[in-house]
Amino acid sequence: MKVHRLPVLICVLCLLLPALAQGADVGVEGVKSFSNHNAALGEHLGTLSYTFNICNGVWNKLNSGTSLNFYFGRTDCWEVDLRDVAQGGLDSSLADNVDLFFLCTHGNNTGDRIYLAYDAAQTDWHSDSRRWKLGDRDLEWLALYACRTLPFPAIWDTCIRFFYGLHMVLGSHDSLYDSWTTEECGRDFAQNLRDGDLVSDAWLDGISDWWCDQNALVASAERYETYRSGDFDWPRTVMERDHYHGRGTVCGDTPNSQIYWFSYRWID
Amino acid sequence: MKKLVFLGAVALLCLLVAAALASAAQVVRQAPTAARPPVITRPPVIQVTQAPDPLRAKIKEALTKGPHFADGEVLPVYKLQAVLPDKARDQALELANRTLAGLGGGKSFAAADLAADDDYLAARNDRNLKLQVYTRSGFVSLANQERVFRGKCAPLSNAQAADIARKFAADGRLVSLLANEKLTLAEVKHVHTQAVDKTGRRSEALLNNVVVIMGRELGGRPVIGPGGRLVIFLSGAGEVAGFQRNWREVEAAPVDSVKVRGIDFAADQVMKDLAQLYGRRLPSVQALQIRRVEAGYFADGKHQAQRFLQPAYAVHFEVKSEKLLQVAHVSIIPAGDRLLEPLHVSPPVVKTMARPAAAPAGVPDRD
Repeated sequence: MKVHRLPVLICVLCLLLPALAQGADVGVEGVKSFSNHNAALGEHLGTLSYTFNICNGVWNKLNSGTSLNFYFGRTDCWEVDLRDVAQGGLDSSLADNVDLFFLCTHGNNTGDRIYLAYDAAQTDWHSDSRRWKLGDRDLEWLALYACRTLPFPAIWDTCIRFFYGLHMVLGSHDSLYDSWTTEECGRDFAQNLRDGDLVSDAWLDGISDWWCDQNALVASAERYETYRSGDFDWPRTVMERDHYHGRGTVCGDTPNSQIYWFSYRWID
Repeated sequence: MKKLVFLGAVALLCLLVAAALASAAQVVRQAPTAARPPVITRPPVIQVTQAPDPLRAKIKEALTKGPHFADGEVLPVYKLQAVLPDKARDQALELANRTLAGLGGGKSFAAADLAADDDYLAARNDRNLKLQVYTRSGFVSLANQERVFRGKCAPLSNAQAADIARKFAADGRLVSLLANEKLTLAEVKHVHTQAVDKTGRRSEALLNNVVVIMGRELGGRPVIGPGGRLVIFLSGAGEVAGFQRNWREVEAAPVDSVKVRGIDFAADQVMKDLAQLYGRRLPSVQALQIRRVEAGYFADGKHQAQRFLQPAYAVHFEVKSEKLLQVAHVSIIPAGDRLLEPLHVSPPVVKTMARPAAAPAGVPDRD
């Protein structure tokens, strides 16, 4: 019987190996035109001309080829993809079903919530982070190439509502650029992840071109143990330990109830 | 009665003869010198003196106040030295090995250490120094990843930081400058980390790095764009922890010259870009914020091959919408009356997946 098990085991390993070697699952969404959104709401959102240049860069570098990976564009991007299942969303089969979810669209923060704009109302034109609950299934890193998702005063009130095992939000404290010199941001970010950089470094470096004023910011959920009454144990923080799967250390999830502080790093 | 009819007939005859004579005279008349007005097939456009477009006026004002070219000015175009992949790799290795001791040391880099992906090469040594090379542009980066984007840096004034960066660039021979070239200080940025705890209390911000961005001037004009940049990361008491060099070497003699266009042309181009982004509903004057205006030689990013340095305008602007959703753009406008090569070529894009037709349970049908 043992003689027969070995080839089976080898076959199973052969099937799993490509997926293991490739690392994590990734979901990518990008909205370029907002004509439906503007027509419905009388708003005035401009086209993001380089959305797909940026998204393609992430997808081409990180798509691990498993059936969990997805890349949707235009009106196929829906706010329910990020919304918690308990709130009528689809996160457990999309955004929260991958390790990294990357979204490129218009964004903003109104003090305690991130707003993201969509060009299809499924079921809303905006995503509201108060309806997210991320990481309770899988998601580790939420990357938002969208403006002003995390201004400094809003970080605690915004993040504490949706970090449920999520490690990090990769976002911005002010505007990000939509221009031909920043079309490479997605590719550079993904390349850095593949190179084994820290996830936080990968974002800060990847979306900076040192000409346009990119206002990159990374925020991570941290535990009491690294707080040390304000004498932070930086080398043990999620910010300074988390790598992409298969490229280095990945911290364990921090349940919402155990988040003691958020660290955030930015360039200005 | 007969007499009356006769007189009437004579009068009619006279009239006919007169009309025939007049007609004959018209045939021999000279054609009018003035051009005949065109046949009007649609209502004429009423020419009224319109108030100047306030959006364009705002852009023009920013261009006027910022650096700009004089309309019709003739500027030289410079040729860049060809970047050969093998040579770029060897030069990067030589530069990295020459400077790594100052950045944290460790094992020297060899060609065999470099993992390749298209034109990208990268390696990491035993001290976590990461070397990156783009062989299409000659971009080189060497960073101590224990100190760049983390650790602690002493607060340095911009002047102090620039002095350290200049010394490092000179000692390490990071860039070679022609007689008409100059290394300039473009900007100083900072990497910070802070904490906010569950009581809402914020820690003091920790300064991780001072980032000195050096620029370049050629023939008295700045080089604009992500190329022509030497970025130096400082850490600790002011030690260099890493650098990025996006710097294409230029040939000494100009290869051509172009006549540059002035601010009216640039303002029109920004308006065209706005129209492309916003269609017919252009943003209001209040919504448009012009952040920065530049005029100089455009050098592109690290992924691009480039052969010439050509004059261009760059107008950085931000548009805030009614609901405060905002985005920044930069209009990069070729300033010359002709282009020796396009300023930029974007890669072909868009291959998203179609969303599965059978939507997961509980989801309304798509439109």
